[in-house]
Amino acid sequence: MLSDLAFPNGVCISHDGRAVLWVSTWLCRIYRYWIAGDRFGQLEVLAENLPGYPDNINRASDGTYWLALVGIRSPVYDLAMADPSFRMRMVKQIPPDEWLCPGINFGCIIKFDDDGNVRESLWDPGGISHPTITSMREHKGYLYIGGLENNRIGRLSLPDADPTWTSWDSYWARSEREKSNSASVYARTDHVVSA
Amino acid sequence: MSLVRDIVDRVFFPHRDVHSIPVLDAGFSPNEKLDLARQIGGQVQAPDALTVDAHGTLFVSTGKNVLACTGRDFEVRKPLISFDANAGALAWSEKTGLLVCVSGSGVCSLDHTGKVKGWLKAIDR
Repeated sequence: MLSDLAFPNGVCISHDGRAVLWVSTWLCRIYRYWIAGDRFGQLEVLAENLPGYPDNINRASDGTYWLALVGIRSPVYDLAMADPSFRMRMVKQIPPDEWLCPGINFGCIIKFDDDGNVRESLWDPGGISHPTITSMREHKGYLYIGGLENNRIGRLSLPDADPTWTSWDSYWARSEREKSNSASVYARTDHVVSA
Repeated sequence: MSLVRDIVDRVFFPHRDVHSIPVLDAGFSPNEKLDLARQIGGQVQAPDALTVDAHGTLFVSTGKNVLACTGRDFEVRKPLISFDANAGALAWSEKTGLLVCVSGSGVCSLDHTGKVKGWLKAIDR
């Protein structure tokens, strides 16, 4: 579908099944790639200049999307990211535990809509409960939280969320019932071959 | 004064980038909402991705393994499968079962017992 991308990550089908949302972690951007409708085949930047490095995207029950920020940007790290030769010298000359890295002693999940507007964010500014969040999943009124550098699974109550909503129903069952335009998406799963 | 400084900066540092990290306001306003998140069950090292199936089982990828978590508060955890490489993103549908992205290998489809149903190793281009 697309190539020559910078750390593509966090793939998610839009609520209407017409586009794939994904992020470029190092470019701090959310992209939208249309897979159906009038804009089929078009790629656009949905949101850019995020304050952190995006990872997993998942649907939210209110028609928006959850997005995990795995680390927070800093001026020094931005500068390093703009200079590949500096980073090359860094990885060659100093041990990995002394490399520059994003701010990982934070936890942040943002919620954005189909226009790329950030509606809300959830923070753990001290990085005590849930730093370095890589994924989250809304399920029946709760948000479940995971993090690659973490040692726990978190659960956050979402008082305003639909307590019956599940992501698998949103992605698959409901859409199949409605026979929406996302047939091409389901076709992908038909590629699974016998072991 | 700031205008003079701006002009001097432009003369002496023409290639200097404008610091572009957005201000954390509006939707990005910092808060402590994640402090309300409760740890469920015991510790799990490096839980990467999560998904829940129709029966309410929570699947978690952690390193090369995928755990199936059941029970109240998902405190009952059983290793579902172990791969040769790291397991990442997860998804579940009735049609495919559990789908696991495995680093360098592809996407693996599993049934609820952890039996491999198939692999997606390449997609059409």
